[in-house]
Amino acid sequence: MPSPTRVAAADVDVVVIGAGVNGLVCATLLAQAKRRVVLVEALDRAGGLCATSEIARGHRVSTFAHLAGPIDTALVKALKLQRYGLQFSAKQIATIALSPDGRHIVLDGDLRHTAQTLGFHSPADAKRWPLFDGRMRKLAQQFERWVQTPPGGPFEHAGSRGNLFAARTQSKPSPVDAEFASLLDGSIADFLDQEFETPLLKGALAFDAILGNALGPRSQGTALLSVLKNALDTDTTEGIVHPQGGMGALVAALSKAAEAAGVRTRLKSRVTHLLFDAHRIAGVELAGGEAIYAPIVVSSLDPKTTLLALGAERQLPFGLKRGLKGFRAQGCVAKVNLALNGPPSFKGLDKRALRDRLIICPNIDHLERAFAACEQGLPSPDPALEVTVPSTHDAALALPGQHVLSVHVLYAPYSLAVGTWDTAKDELLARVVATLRQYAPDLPDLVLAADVFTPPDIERVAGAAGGHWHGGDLSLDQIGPLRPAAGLSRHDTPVPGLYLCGAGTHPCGGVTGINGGNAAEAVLAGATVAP
Amino acid sequence: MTDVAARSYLPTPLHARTAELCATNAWTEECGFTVPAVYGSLREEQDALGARVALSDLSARQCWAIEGPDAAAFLSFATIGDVTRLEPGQTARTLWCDDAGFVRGDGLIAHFGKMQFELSSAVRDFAWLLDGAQGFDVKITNATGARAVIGVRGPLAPNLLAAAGLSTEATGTGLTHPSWRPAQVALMRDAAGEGFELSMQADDGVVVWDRLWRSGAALGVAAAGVQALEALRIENGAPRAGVDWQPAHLARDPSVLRVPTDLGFTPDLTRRFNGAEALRRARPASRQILVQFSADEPLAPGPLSMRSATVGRLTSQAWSETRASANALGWLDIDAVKIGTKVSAPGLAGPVRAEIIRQVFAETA
Repeated sequence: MPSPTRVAAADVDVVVIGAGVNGLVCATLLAQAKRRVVLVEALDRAGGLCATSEIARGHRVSTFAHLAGPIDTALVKALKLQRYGLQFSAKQIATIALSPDGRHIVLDGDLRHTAQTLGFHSPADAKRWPLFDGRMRKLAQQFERWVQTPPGGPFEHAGSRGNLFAARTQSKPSPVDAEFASLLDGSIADFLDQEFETPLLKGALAFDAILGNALGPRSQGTALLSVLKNALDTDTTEGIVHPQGGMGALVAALSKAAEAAGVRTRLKSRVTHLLFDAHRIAGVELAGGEAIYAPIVVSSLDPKTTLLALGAERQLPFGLKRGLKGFRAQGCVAKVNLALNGPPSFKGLDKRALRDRLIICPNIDHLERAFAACEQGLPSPDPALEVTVPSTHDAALALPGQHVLSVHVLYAPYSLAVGTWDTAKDELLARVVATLRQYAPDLPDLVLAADVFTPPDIERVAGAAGGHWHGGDLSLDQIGPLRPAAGLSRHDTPVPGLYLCGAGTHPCGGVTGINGGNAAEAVLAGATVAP
Repeated sequence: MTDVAARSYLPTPLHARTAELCATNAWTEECGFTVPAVYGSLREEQDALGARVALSDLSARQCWAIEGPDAAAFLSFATIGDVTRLEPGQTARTLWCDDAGFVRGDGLIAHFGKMQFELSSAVRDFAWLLDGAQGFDVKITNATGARAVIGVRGPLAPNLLAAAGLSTEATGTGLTHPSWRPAQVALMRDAAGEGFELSMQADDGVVVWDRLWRSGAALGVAAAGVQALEALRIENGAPRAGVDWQPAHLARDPSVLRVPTDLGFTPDLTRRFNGAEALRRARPASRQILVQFSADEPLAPGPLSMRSATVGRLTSQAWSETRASANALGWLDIDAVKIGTKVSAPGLAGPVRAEIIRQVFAETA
């Protein structure tokens, strides 16, 4: 390791690495607690996966992540984000499962409305929906505290997946335990097949459970993911939201909050090494040789990079290193942004419904086939899509009368088995447009410009390792006390003073700020686990 | 047999000599190698071990070479011992733990100097070391089969080594360079302190064996196979990985996990090593301890009971032809340990009364 060439003034309490949403949240909360915080970011902008960029002149869109939340209103308040300009152009955004024939299913929290739209497909499913929704809410409530706080109690530092189940069996029995147990193990496909007969509904719900993970609807444990997703959306959130101005606006507000709290943000400052004093963290060294010394370092980088690539390796127990090496964090979702010369006309969809989140996934088999291709290193020939048209509620994103459309594409493997993404991007875009055309026939003629971001692009441009949306797959062996590895689920690490706060920590990725908030609490509580 | 079957049991570097001596053609598998179970007569081998001197092929073990600037630092973190204090030419017995402080393996570290070490063990755990080495400037290679190890045991062992020109001065441990061969031989006392182990490059093995064999002719040297060595091991109270205790990564039942003190090691918990923090935080209280038994009839592995209650488990047993008695090792509930009392142990034809002779590691009581 080269010797640092310059030493910064010893007036830093905490260095936070990475100015993504979690890094910003963590840094701000620590600064608000009177810690002197330096936030270092390798890129020339803050935000990570949250950014707004221009597709074509006058057409701006959220570059990568296109919706935020669920964000707890208490966090928004604590960070004073509204004071710093954060406004939502849409809240409580509903999900609409698109049908090529216009018989869409609307999942908007209004039980009667959903049942009504579902009734066009299956009266039996329409009747079951309220019961199902109630059961899921009940299950989700059991997980609410679990996902909102670092694992504790019986889950604390579980050494293996076996311990996770042991902890479950020791937990307080409740009337829904049998369902709970079956959910933990099962696939979302099996779970939904037991409940419903409408392929479109099952496709949309399965899509939501696995979105962002290298998992298919028949992968083990995906049923649990649907519960966890619901558990994040508590009574105190605004649901899924779209910041006015795109995700970049959220970052702008967070950055202002950080600055106001006293956080010193340094862009274009890549950390090359962690510094140690004996076995304790002592600061970071930047590319160029500058050192910033601090007794606490919080990293929002992915856990593998933080602990295995910056010099902390020899401080770690062997088993922990093994666990981290096996942490899977290779993205499989591409992002396509389109500038449109007018509003797209989706068959059977009211223009007002374009404010919502549109899912194109006709059935579970469709999703499974798309995943099977990805597993073989091929872009899905018939992808499943999550579509938003943010310019319908945030007019400033496009020129008058024009629109922007944002698509998450499942699946796009990080590494292609044949060829390279340089040549495969056009084909991916063509498939996405062709898929959209089945639902909005006029759309191909409206396209003015397009941006395509594959997982390697997302890694490079957003600084997200592997281009993964959640900082690592959410699978049974990578959630809760095992995220990112046994012994690291409470944000502290075996290196005294070194903490993790990125999306690869408990509970998951997404734009919630929970990871950053919990890490700040862990730092303030002084939690430390030595090797 | 197919090539695959032939490869499944490797010959040791001393196979040419052991095969010549193995009149019974009774072989057994040790750590992936084939070694003689009995050379000629178990009685004769036990006699040699007890009254004269015997040579044994101990090459059947895993052997890992660790070299580089961080070799000592790596081994000091990987194992419970402070390897930075191990002088060139010295060897030390050690063990290593998982993150929770439970023992994964035990073995012997030899320091060859010039940042070169070797760790040999009966436990297959190469991948653990490799994975743990990330971040250390070390090169780890699997040298299994690259070393020949000769056991020299019995009351006349020092005489044999002296006759062969191998010094056992000082502690009798360390490296020696015999004048008769430009070979480096690592020489150390064995675990029970009643003999020596000589380790050398595989190519030098036969030469050293021949030298020892010729030098020992006047002392009545014999070759001792696995069965005789096992009996000696049990008599000496040396627990064996995979038999008397299960390495943590292979144990299916958490109740059989062992911490260093269970196996007679008292690690310095003020030092940093893998598992130390877990041992510091919550040193598990041993519920069972290793005990030696004797009986007038052959014993078999299985549960031990007192007054119809299970109080432990017998893990190793051997019959001594010379003493006409059985020796055994087993784990017994601490409350049940009372020297001189008898427990009911499994025998070849029904329960046998076995007497508790001693607690193997007195300091763990």
